[in-house]
Amino acid sequence: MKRLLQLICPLLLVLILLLAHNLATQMQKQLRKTSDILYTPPADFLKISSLGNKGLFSDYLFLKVYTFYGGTLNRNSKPRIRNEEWEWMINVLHNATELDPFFLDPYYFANAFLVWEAGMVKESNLLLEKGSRKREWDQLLPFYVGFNCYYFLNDGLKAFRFLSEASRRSGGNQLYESLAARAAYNADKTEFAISYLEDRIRDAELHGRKAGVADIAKRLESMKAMREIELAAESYRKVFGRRPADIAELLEKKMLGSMPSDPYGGFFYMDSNGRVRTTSDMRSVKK
Amino acid sequence: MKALFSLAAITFKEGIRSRTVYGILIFAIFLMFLNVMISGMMMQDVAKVAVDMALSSLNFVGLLLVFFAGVNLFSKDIERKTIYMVLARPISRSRYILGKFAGISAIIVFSLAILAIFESASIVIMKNGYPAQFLRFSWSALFFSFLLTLISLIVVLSTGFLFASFSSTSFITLVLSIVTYLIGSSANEVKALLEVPHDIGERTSPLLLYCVKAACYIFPNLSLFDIKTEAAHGLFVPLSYILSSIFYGILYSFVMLSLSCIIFKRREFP
Amino acid sequence: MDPIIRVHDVSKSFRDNLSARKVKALESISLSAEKGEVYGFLGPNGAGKSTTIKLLLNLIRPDSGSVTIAGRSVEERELRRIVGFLPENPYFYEHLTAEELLWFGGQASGMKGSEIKERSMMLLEKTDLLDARKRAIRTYSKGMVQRAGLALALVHDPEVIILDEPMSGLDPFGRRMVSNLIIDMKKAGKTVFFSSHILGDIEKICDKVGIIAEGRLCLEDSLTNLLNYGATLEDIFFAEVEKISVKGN
Ligand SMILES: Nc1ncnc2c1ncn2[C@@H]1O[C@H](COP(=O)(O)OP(=O)(O)O)[C@@H](O)[C@H]1O
Ligand SMILES: [Mg+2]
Repeated sequence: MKRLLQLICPLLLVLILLLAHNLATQMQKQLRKTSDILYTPPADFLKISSLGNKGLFSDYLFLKVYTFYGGTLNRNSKPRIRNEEWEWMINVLHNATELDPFFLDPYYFANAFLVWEAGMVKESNLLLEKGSRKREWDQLLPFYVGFNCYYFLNDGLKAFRFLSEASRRSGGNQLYESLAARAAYNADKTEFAISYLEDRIRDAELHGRKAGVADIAKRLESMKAMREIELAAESYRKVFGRRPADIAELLEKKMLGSMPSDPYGGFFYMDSNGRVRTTSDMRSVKK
Repeated sequence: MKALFSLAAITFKEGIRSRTVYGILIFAIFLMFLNVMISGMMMQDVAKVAVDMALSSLNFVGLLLVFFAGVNLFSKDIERKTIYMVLARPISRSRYILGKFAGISAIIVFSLAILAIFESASIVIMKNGYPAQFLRFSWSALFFSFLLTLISLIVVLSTGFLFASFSSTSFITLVLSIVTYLIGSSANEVKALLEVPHDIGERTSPLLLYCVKAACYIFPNLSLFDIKTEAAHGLFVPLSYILSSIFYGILYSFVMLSLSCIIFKRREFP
Repeated sequence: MDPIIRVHDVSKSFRDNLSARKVKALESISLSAEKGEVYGFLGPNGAGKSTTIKLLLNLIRPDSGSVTIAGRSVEERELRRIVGFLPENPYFYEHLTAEELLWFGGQASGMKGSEIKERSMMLLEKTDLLDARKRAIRTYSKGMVQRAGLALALVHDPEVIILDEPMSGLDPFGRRMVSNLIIDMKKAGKTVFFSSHILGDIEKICDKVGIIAEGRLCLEDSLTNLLNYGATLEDIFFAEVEKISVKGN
């Protein structure tokens, strides 16, 4: 009897302990539900309290966002992630990059999820611009900024600036180069695109890069042709006080000597805003 | 010189054999695995996180050693009167301080060197696993950051010695040196924060700024020894910076130890 | 001949940390021991024995008066090359072994390695610690620690040996061992100054006795002189201490 008691008592104790623990953790969940988990202490405070371990704190903050995001993947609610949660994420990422502005992952995360999933392009770009400034060797971040400006924000000039920076850092990545030129062109800054492409060709020749030069040259040729038409249209406007209706009018009034040809195999035309475009859209047209 | 060396030697032996050091080393092995685990979770900057973790664990374990093995070894010596067996020898009080300091520094350097080997192992593992993320990684930057961390620990230890040289209990010494560490490693950030021109809101009072500035001079400016970010990203740190920080650290420790010697010379051990 | 240990008109008071009151530990004490003498320093608990001994080792400093050994001020560092000291309730680095402890003692006193080895083996044997010499002091009994401390005090073959209650915590065998060691040292021409409150031990080995009570030296004389009157040391001790207490109150 006594032996039995000796056996049962500890078991009972363990059982009670488990129950008590469960109860306490339940209560804790309640507590957390009501309090605001989305709080972020200010970056300055974190800087001071990191006591010289800013890098580690930054890692921690990023992991917090990363695991939070991972945790939302099996949510059923709609929307899956609430607006204030996205806000919180970008704030934490901002803090993480204040603590360590060179840390790539927060920028990468912002671009991958905040831009594409939450559509917080402006806020994310602010972050990415900081990263691009700090990580001055990194070609990816200016590419992201440029791409977002170009694709989401329609800010061709800024897109051109960052994309050409990306191209410079990459040592002549063709994707960046063509995107930069395209952005400048879309921003109605054809002469930027031209001088940029000329510069790229010079640079490629200087470094003995053969591959891709032909591509750039082709694009350059196309741009120059469009620039010629643009200039003609400009003089036309000065003379006649209005925009020409189409390119044929320029040829008619002898403002343009002859119709330039598009190396991509398309035809130049003027859109309703008076911008010179090509039917090839600077992609090789299959004949 | 022989006396100083032999005191350093027994201090080292005593410290190395105590459980504190073993406990800390076991903790270090745990940290190594943690490093591999956490840095493996990253999307891109595996190298940076691996280096961050390695250096911060070194710093943290080093601080544990300084406070719980180092400062204690000195202040307990006075508290428990084990100091009698040393002072009864033809050893001057200054030599006592220097010998003790050398011995405890050796414990810290030794333990951290072992820890650094473990941490390097974890970095090697990560480097082999993710070679593309380690393009900018440099062992020399890591080494210099480790070296400066070590110097900062020595500086913190020297402040502990100053407190131990006049306080009568090891607890007070411990508290004072921890407070010094906290101030020393944050004062520079606080100063930077206060000096930022505020265009809106209230201005910081000049008195506060003055106090913080004074604190930066009086307390060891430990931010000078923090090049973890640079090491983590393989950024360039000029040798002149490293040398000047080391110079500052050695000078600061020297001042602390000189003060301790002066105080210790007058002290009685009833 | 000048006495080898000389305490002249020394007073010492401690500041009590809590009440900031001064506690008088010694009041113009003077005593002296000749070279080759065994000096027994007797007194009840709290009389000031340990205080006097700490003064002899410059661990504390007198408020007034002078303390010299072999004619030199105890503040001189080099003096401690010829002084051996065993503190009351000695406490050593507990992870060291007795062997390492003696190695340190020898090194710090400027001995050569071979010399240390030789002397420490001899002393460890005499103090019956030979088998335990490679064990950490942490694992020693109180008596063993006391004996290790004694070996440490003697490792550099000092001229003057100062022992604070060397017999305390020892069993009869240990006490006899200490007595024998003291007698050996006396034979080798060393001066031994030791405090105790165990009268029987003192009676056997001392040449000179000093009795201290409440910080004042009541009596200092050679043992033969004292015992000439037919009284035992015990009788004298009680009589002297009671005299002081009556005076004090
Ligand atoms: N550190 C101290 N602070 C205050 N009083 C002390 C201190 N050390 C000793 N005393 C006092 O001095 C007197 C003598 O002490 P001590 O020399 O240790 O006596 P004992 O003869 O037992 O060795 C005692 O009254 C004791 O209370
Ligand atoms: Mg005593």
